[in-house]
Amino acid sequence: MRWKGFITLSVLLVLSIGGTYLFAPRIIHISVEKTGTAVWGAKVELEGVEISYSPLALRLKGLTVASRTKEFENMMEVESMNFSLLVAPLLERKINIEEVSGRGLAFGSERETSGFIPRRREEEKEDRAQVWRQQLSEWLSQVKKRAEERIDIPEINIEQLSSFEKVRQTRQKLEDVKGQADSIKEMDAQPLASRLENDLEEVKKITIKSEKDVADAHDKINNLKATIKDSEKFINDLNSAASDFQSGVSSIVADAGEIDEARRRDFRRVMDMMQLPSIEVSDIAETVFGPIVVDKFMTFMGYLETARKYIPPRKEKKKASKPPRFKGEDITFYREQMYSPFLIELALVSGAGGEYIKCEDLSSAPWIHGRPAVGAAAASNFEINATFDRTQDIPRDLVVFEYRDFAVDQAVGSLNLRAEFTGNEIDSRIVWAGRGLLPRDWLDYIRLDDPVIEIQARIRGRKSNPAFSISSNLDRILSERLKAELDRQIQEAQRQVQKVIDDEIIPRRDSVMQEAVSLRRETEDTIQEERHTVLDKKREAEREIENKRKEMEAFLAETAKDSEERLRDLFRR
Amino acid sequence: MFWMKLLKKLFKALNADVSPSEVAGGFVLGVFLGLSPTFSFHNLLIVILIIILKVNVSAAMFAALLFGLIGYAVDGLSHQLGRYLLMSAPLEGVWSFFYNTPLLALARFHNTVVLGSVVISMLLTVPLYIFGKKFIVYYRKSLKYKVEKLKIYKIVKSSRFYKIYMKVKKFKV
Repeated sequence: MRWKGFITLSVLLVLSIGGTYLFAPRIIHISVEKTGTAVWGAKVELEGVEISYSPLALRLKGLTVASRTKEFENMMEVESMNFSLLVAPLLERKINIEEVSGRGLAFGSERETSGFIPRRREEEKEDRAQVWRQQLSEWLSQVKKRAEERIDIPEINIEQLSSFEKVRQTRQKLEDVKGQADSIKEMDAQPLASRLENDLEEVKKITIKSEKDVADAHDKINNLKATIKDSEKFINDLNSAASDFQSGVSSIVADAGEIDEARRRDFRRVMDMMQLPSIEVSDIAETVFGPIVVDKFMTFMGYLETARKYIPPRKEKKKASKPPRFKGEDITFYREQMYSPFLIELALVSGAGGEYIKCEDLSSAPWIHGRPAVGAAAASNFEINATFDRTQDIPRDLVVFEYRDFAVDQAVGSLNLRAEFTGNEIDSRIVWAGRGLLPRDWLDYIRLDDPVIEIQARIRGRKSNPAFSISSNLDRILSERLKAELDRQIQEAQRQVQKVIDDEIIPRRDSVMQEAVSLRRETEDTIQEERHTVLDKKREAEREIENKRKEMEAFLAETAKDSEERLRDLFRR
Repeated sequence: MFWMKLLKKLFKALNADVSPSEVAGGFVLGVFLGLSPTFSFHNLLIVILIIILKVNVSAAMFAALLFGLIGYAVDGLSHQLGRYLLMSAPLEGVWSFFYNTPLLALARFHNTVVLGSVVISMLLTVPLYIFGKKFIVYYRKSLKYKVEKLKIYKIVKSSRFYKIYMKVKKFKV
């Protein structure tokens, strides 16, 4: 035995145990503060650390986590936290915490010293917020400018209007109908009427006194009948011409409707040709809120990604390969108890006001632990629930977060976040609703007194290339305002275009219609007159023929009676 | 410089200042250090043994370095041997016990190279110890004067460190 060596080793052992006992709390104290501050981005401070070796436990006293946005406020404060550690896993260089219990949890408590740390990123963020506000004002001034622009009415070439062409075609139809009317006028009924009258006079002159008179009357009646037949033909021709004329005029009248329809088409075409001011309101939310929402959303997603990173998915089994020097191959055997490299079985920190932070089965190797990590936290103004399930081959995580006083820029509102991760797929939705987001110039413009603005952002798809969309009720609010502004301009432009078209088309249309109506009236009078002229004479002639027929029958009957008596006398004699 | 120091100390040990058993013992323990992977739990035990047992540290370090180099060549053999032993059914209970016992698990005997190299070292212990002792006796009788004429010995002996060492030695005496 080498006693010198033995004593040296013993001294070293005693020194290391003593050093651990004396300095471990201080080392843990500094590590927690430094690491916490670096990770969180604001001061993380501890009042003290105590270590108990039997049973093995760690106690953190007076833990404060400063707010990153409010200089003299703590995001979270815990009076004391006890960590009960399992010894057996430590021998395998694994940290398994059986239970974390804490008391005196408080959110948003005041602090005497500044909790900020010098950070370039914060300054950049402030600059970004300023730039965003500036962009917002610029965007509004552009919108206003667009909305107030006068609309230039284009020069309208009347001959290119379809309604003008339609009026021209109707005018052509009118000319055709005029021709028909002239033809009707040329169908003179007077000669036929004179013929009827002459023939009638001849028939009237007939006196049936002898059989010779009957034969003469027969000829004259036949002449009159022929003239009646001619008059019937004339009336038929007249009716046919009148019918054609009527349909021509009806077609012209019907064209009035088509002219009006063409006039409306012309109006729409001219309006389409005009550069009307329009603003795609569906883009407003993305344009206005895009930068700030994306920033906040990405910050959240960054936190979630950090959380997820420390709960890695099940690793794929490595393929067997030739072991490098000093590595070899680990052959595994059945184990009754396997430990995760890091595990917190249960952590519960609560406060007097009902605040709590709870965490169960948080493990760096959940596939060994076999249960998904579940976390929850709540305070008067927020609640968060999270499940990180890595027990299966495809990791599934769900985080639901509600925050009632969440600040976006200088506005405060409620925030709801739901983030789902399935493997490499992400589907997250964040909704913020609150007042105070719009600057004064915007409120003046939309003429509303600080409305509730709701912004919805959604990110979905593969994590490497997700689709991002933003929508907001500001779209509707602004579109209504813009619509009112633009409608006034557009209506004025419409009125002017309508006037130009109407001034050109309506007088032309009315002129054609008036001419058509007047022509119809005149022609119909002519037709009626001619028809009556012929028909009256025809009817009189027919009546006279009937009279003469009866007269002749009476004469013949008398003659027959005389003949019969003469024959009877002759036989009697 | 480290090599110089080590060689000087080794020559000193060989040149009759130290008993052959101590040198051979140190050498055998150094073999364990050299053959098996550096960061193994059993190596810590070996280092403690080197410190508290009366063995020659220079010989142990020399052996560790020498067999560290040889280890590269023996690595494949260690892996094969370790794998054969770990996979053999009769021994499964033993390995399972090592694997499931917290402190013993730190020795990582479930690793093929670790187990293989430890077994090879153990197999070499007795032969190397016996051979080492005999070699030192033989060296002191027959080889010492030949070695002292070697150029490397003269370089080592004439180095500044050696002179300082001799002065300190005289002062201590």
